[in-house]
This record gives sequence, C-alpha cells and structure tokens, in this order.
Amino acid sequence: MIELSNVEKVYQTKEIETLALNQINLKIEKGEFASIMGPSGCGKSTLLNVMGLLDMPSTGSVRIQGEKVTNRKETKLAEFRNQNLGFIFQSFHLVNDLTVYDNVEMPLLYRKGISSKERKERIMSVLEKVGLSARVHHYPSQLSGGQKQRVAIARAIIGSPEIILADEPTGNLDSRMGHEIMDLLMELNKEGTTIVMVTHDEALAQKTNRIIRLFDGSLVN
Amino acid sequence: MRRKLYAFVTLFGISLTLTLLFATTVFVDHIFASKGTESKFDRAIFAHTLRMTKRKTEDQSNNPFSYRFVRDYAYKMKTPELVAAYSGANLTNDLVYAYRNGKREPLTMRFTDGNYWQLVDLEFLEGRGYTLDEIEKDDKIVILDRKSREIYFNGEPCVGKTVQLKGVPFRVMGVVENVDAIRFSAYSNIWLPFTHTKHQEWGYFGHLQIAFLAHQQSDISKIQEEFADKLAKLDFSGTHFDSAYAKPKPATMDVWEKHDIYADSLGQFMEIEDVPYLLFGTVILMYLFLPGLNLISLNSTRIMERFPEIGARKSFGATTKHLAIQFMIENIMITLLGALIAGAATFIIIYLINDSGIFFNSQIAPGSRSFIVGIGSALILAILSGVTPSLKLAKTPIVKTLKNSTK
Ligand SMILES: Nc1ncnc2c1ncn2[C@@H]1O[C@H](COP(=O)(O)OP(=O)(O)OP(=O)(O)O)[C@@H](O)[C@H]1O
Ligand SMILES: [Mg+2]
Repeated sequence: MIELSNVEKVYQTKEIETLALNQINLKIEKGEFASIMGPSGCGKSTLLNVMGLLDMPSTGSVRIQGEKVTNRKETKLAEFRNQNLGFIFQSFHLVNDLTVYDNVEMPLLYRKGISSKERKERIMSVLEKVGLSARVHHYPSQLSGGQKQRVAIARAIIGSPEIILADEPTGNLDSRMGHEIMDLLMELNKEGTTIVMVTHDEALAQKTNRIIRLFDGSLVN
Repeated sequence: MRRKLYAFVTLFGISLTLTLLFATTVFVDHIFASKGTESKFDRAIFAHTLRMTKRKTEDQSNNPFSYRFVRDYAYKMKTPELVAAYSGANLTNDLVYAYRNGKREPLTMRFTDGNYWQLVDLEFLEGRGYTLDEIEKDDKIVILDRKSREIYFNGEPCVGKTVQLKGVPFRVMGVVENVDAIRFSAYSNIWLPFTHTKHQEWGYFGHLQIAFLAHQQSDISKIQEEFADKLAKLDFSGTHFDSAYAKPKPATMDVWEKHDIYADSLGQFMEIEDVPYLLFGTVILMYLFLPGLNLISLNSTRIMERFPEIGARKSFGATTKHLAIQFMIENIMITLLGALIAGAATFIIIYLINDSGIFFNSQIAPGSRSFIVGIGSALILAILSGVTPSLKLAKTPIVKTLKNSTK
C-alpha cells in the first residue's frame, strides 16, 4: 500500500543540518493499522508527512498503491491526496469560521463532479458514523476536544480514502476521549481502511497490528 | 472569535485608509477642478504679473497690469474668445467693513472690467453684471453677493437701490449667490468697476490680472504666442524699461501662485506647469503606499492566523491556486466593504465641513472625477495589499503551516 525505499530527509538550517529521516525502508500493507512510536524529535511527524505526500524526501522514493508519487507536480500531488488520503492532526486543524457541516465538506470541494445533494448525504452519513448528527450547525468553538477530533475524523473519511494518516490524534485529549477516538479508528480499520498513526501512548499502540519504532531518524527493530 | 476580531481590525484599517484617500481626492478635485463658478477655466489662461526690465542696468520691476495695457494691447488680441481684466481677490486687502448688530463684518471687494461677467459663471439672484459701456457712462455701480445683500438690505431685493461704500453711493445692478472662497478668480463679496481701485496706475503697471478665454483648449498656445508678440511690440516710450515679459498660464498654476507655494524666481529656471500634477502624483502615491504597507502587514498577521486552515485545506487537496483565489476574493470583498464604509464616512465628513464652513466657507461637492480616482485607488489598494500576502500565504509549504500550529 505504502512503500518507502531508502528515504532520507535532511533539514538544512543556517547553523545545523538535521538528518530527520535516515535510510528508511518501510512497507505498510493494505488493511494494516500501524503505529509509529519514538521519543520527541526522532522524526515521527516527518515520516508521516513523507508518507502523506505533505513533504518530499531529500532522497529515496515513495510509492503508494504501486504508483511512484515522488517527483509529481504540486497539483497532481494535491489531487492524489484528495482522492486517496485522509489526515487527522493532533490539534484538529478545523476552520473556526466554518460550521461542523462546512468543515466536513471541505475535501469534497476540491473534487470535481459531486452534486450538492450527494455531498449532503455523504456529510450526514459520516457525521452519523462519528456520532455528531446533532452538532451539524455548531462551530468548532462550541465543541469539546473529543468532539472536534471526531469532526476531523469525519472530514478525513468523507472522501472515502484508502489510507488515513493520523499524527498524535489523541495527543490533546484526556484518556477517556482518547480511547473513544481510538475505537473509532479501529472500527474504520475493520472496514478496510489502512491507518498509520503516530502516538506517544504505549497502551494505544498495543491495540494496533504493528508498532514501528523510530530513534534519531532511523528505524529500530 | 479571534478571526472575527482580525477581520474587524482589517476592515477598520481599510475603511480609515480609504476615507483618508477619498476625502483627499475630493478636496484636491474641489480645489483644482474647473467647475462651478469657474467652469470655463479649463480653456482659460491667466497673466498675473508683468516683468519689465532695463537691459543695461538690469533694473527690474514686477507688477500686475494697468488698464492702459489691457485696453491698448490685451483687448486687441485676435485669438482669444474673451479677454477679461480684474483685480486679484486678495483676502486681506481691498476690504470694506460693514456693521451688523454692532458686529464688524469685513467684506472683500473685487475690481473688474465688463468682460469679467462672461468669464465666471456667477449665479445671479437678481439683476445682472455690468458692461464696459455702462462703466464708461456711469461707474457708480456695484454687484453684491447674497451675504452682503443680507448685511446691507436685510436680504430684501435691492437692484436699483443705493448702497454706501466708504461714504460713496453706489447703485446695485445685481446680486449673486455666495461664492466659494477657494475659487480664487470668482470669489468676492462685492464687485465694482475697475475704475474705483485706490491703487495708482503707473505706465503698464497697475492692479489688474488678465484672463484669456480660448475658443477651445488647443488654442491656448496660439494665445500665448500672440501675447508674446504683443509684448515684443510694446511701446516703451515714456517708460524707463526696454523689455517686458509675462506669460499667461492655465488655472491650476493660478492657485499655486496665489498661495505663494511657487516663488516667482523658480519660474525663471523651469517650466513648472507640470509641478502641481507631479506633486499630486507623489502625494497620491504616498497615500497609497503607506496604508498599502500597513494593509500588507495587517493582512499578513491576519494570514498567520490562518495557517491551520491552510494546512488542512492543502492536506485535503487544495492547490496553491485554489487558495490564492480564495484569499484574493476575500480581500477584494473586504476592501469593497471598506470602500463602502469609507464612501459613507467621506460624505459625512464633507457634510460636516460644508456645514461648519471651516474650509473658506466652501461648499464641497464630490464630483465624478473624485469618484473615479477614489474607486481606482481603492482597487489599487486592494490589489497592492491583497495579492502579495494572498500569494505568499497560498504558497506556504504544508509542513510549515502544520508545524506552526502544533508547536
Ligand atoms: N522545518 C524544519 N526545519 C528544520 N528542522 C526540522 C524541521 N522540521 C523538523 N525538524 C527537525 O527534524 C527532527 C524531527 O522532527 P519531527 O517533527 O519529525 O519530530 P517528532 O518525532 O514528530 O517529534 P514530536 O514527538 O515532538 O512531535 C527534529 O529534530 C526537528 O527539530
Ligand atoms: Mg510530531
């Protein structure tokens, strides 16, 4: 499903050169629920961003669903993300000026040929799935952290992506809400979505199929 | 909530900037445009000063023109449609004092020939202007404005009645609507035949300025040529000079000379007809530039607030182009809204200024020219302040927008 070959990521700043990812060879299989763990600054987010085509590796290549996606143009990458990937972020990244409905609709706005009727049906159905049918016209500021993250999950799955990438999705939540979110993700995984999740929570990681450990930019076996 | 505050601050900034811009435009237009009582002035040129020199000794004298010069040279010119002579409305000299309710009211007097009444478009409330023939028959005649009619006749109709000016009786021939004091060639409270001036004439020197009205704007240079020709053929016998120089110039210069912004000496070194336009250009640019910068920074801070949104939109498939268009539309909308508010504010400001009379008692009316300039500069401002930040924002790499909000 996702295949990284000899991926390196170097961050060049004035003073220092950081090797955030070092010779990563990694394969995520279809239907897998993988978690990435490691100390702060070890490169977890960088790895996830490279997998999600949000960032380009300095060297090496990324294949998703068998297609080589590195070296594609920005518009092609955007289109690819829109069709195949869903993202969940630690701090939700909802647009505060938009209602729950409009936030969830966002990915569909960048996709051609979906009628507003179909959009509405899809929005209502994903909101039901995350248990927020009663909050359609609320604004993010009127929601709890757990509810916000459920809106973010609804937004991530509205386009029916094959892959969901989540960077510390429970990082800003208490453990009860964290488990709720985790249950939702596991349900999505059961339905066939491939998920890669960065987490600091060992207990949550243990629930996933596979734990990928990173240290100082390198994979640890 | 934060976003709303930012939007409000931005809107406030834009409105304030545009109000400043609009109000300035209206003022500048009011001062320099040929309109109202000076509607013909865009095809008129004016000579204020005659410079006479004795070449050998470099003796030099600069003064307005005498009636003798006007009669013997200016009136005889063929190219102008009309030649009018009149004293400059000096706001401090040539005053007469009237008393009303025990209060001393200074009234400005202007001395004119008969053609003056065809040069300016004063609105007669009653009666009419005088002609040169009438001056020659009996020059104890006067035109009043509404204000002086108010003072001398309690606002009652007064054509044919007599008014005492400095102890001399004058017959009222007409009453005109009050004139904006900013109309330097038209403004006065009382108009009298040029024969009444207390100033002495001395050869070609006197107290008159001369206006030449061209049939059309393109004739102006022909008039200037003919005038130069007349000066070249000036009869110097009886004077102790042997050369004369004067150049009639368009009305925009009029204001500058009156305000002494332009020193006479400067005119000897360069053609400064273009200076006012240059100055305006610079002022307008400054006006655009400073708030433009201000708006760019305003927009940029507002934009930083939007990093999470950009991160999310881009992650889910928005391209740089999508976002640039989105931000640009938002910017134009907010600028237009600002322009609407600024337009309303400008009208209120102008109304207050007109009402209070603090600007020379002037009645400012925004014209179509200020409207066009106003809309134009609002658009430039929108583009200037919108495009750069919008593009910059839209181009921000996704990782940067994601990082900023998590750390
Ligand atoms: N844009 C950047 N420029 C320079 N260095 C960067 C940049 N982004 C990340 N780094 C560096 O790369 C390394 C890996 O960063 P990354 O964000 O992937 O860590 P992380 O494992 O996600 O940490 P955390 O658990 O704190 O989120 C760090 O040393 C970080 O300082
Ligand atoms: Mg991280």
